[in-house]
Amino acid sequence: MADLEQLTAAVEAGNRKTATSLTTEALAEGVAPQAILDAMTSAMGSVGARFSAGDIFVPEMLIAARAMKEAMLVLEPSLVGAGVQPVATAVIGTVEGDLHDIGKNLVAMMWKGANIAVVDLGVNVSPQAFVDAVTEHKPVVVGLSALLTTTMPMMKTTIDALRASGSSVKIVIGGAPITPEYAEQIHADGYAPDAGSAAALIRDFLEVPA
Amino acid sequence: MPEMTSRERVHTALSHQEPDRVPTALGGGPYSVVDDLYHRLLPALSLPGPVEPFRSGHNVSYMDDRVLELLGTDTRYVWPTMSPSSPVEGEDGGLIDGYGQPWNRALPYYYPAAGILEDAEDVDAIEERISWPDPTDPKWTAGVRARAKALHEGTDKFVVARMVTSHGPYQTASDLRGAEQFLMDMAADPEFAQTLTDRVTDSIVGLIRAYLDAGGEYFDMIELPGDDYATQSGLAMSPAMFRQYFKPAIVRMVSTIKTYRPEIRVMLHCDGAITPLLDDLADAGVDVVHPLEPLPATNIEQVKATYGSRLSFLGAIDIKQALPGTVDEVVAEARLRISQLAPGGGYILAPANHVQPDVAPENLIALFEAARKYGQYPIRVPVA
Repeated sequence: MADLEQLTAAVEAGNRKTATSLTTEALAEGVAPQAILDAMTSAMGSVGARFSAGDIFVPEMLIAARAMKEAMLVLEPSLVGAGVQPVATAVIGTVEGDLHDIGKNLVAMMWKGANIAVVDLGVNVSPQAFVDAVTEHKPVVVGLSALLTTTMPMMKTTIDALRASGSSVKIVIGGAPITPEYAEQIHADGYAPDAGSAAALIRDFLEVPA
Repeated sequence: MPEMTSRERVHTALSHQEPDRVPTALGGGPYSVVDDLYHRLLPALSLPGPVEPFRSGHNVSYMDDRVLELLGTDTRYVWPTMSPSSPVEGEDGGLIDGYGQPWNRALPYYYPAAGILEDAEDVDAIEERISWPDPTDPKWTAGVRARAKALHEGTDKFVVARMVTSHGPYQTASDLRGAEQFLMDMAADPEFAQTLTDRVTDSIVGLIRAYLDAGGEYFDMIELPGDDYATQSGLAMSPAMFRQYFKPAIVRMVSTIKTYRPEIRVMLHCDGAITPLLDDLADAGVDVVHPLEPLPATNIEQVKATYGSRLSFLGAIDIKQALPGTVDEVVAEARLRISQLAPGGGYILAPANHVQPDVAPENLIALFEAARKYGQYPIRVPVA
């Protein structure tokens, strides 16, 4: 009998081979795809919390996300077959003029780890491209990233463009120079200091238990 | 106290004693001025025209001793002719660095394109795919000896050898492997991460040795290649992982220099909130840390109290808010950092990074005037 606790432990430890083989085993034994998914999102939830607490660092978080990503390739067809949907859609990108992507990628990984469908627009994303993506994908949350003090003002321009388009989507921001005060000042709906907190933030918006 | 020469002033400070006044520096590998500001500084200092750029394809291209003389700074620089981690224009017009890694231009900076080792599956690719620089090629150090000798014998300035390459073992490995992939290797493929780190370190140690052979007898300090082990809010990796991969690399670079001549001071540039690594850096033999960035995550007074007897600090002047601000804000920043870091010596006042185009020439001039005025020992701490 495949042990879902072991699967959670394998994802947390970033052990992709074990995570993939335990997923295969669990499916073969008829474990419900939703239960397997829950075992993995629970792992990523605790990875995010440990990262926020400073117990683990970026390398450990990256390999955990990779382990889940690879196990998800095995699980996805069964999730589709069982009609399990992502809990929500999110759009994310680094604002125009800024080419940094590690922080943004970490947040995208953590959101995926919480079973959210993530549309990643990449870096140097124009305000109009965010507006278009929101129209097309109807996300519950948009995440804006910036690493530079010089590109921070583009966050405000992007928020203004989204509001001018009539969208009431929740907008959350993050990045090295960002403070909660700045988020409030430019009327963002939320701010997260790190990728683990970003996952907790979106769960709050969705009222999904951790 | 009688006025010291620049060289005496810096050596005294780096020996953790109080000189006549706080030494100052501008022009090093990570604390120079961008070209735009350089061209605006010239008329502000009544200088006729620019000197020849010391390199091309970069936005920090001038090493002008006239400017440093007029600003009154204590350090003068020697630089390698070429740096393997700086991209140059290749035959097809694209940017390529000395390891063969392609880069993308995104002025004012460059970003590595997909790493040439990104999809490598085993360590053999490290030798096969990378053009490791030949440190015995005289092109790296042409001109170093003549300039170092002239500065040592013809001036009383403190002679600093700029870094042999901009990026140290961690960042070079990240450039070549892709940053995310290398971080994952560090956690999940230690053989690959260790082999790549060691190979990059071999290459840098070879270049440092060639640099020392060229002009080491005249160097007062060498800058190690820069490596940012931290972000603005915290470490990029656990202290344990830093000790596993990068501390041994720093020990090798430092011991190469100290074996050649123990009196040469060693500076390491590492941005970000690095407080948890300072003990290890001191332990590895680093003498001077740049820039001790003023960040919410860094308690400068506490750093000075805890590590000030083992490490000296160069930098700490905020380039993001203070330097682009008013002259009063610049003066206040100089006084604040002097009061926090200068008591007992161990501090060289300098910008925390290259000074950007958003800074007025008058502000930079005011910074060094303030350093001279308020940096007289004994330091009088300003009343808040």
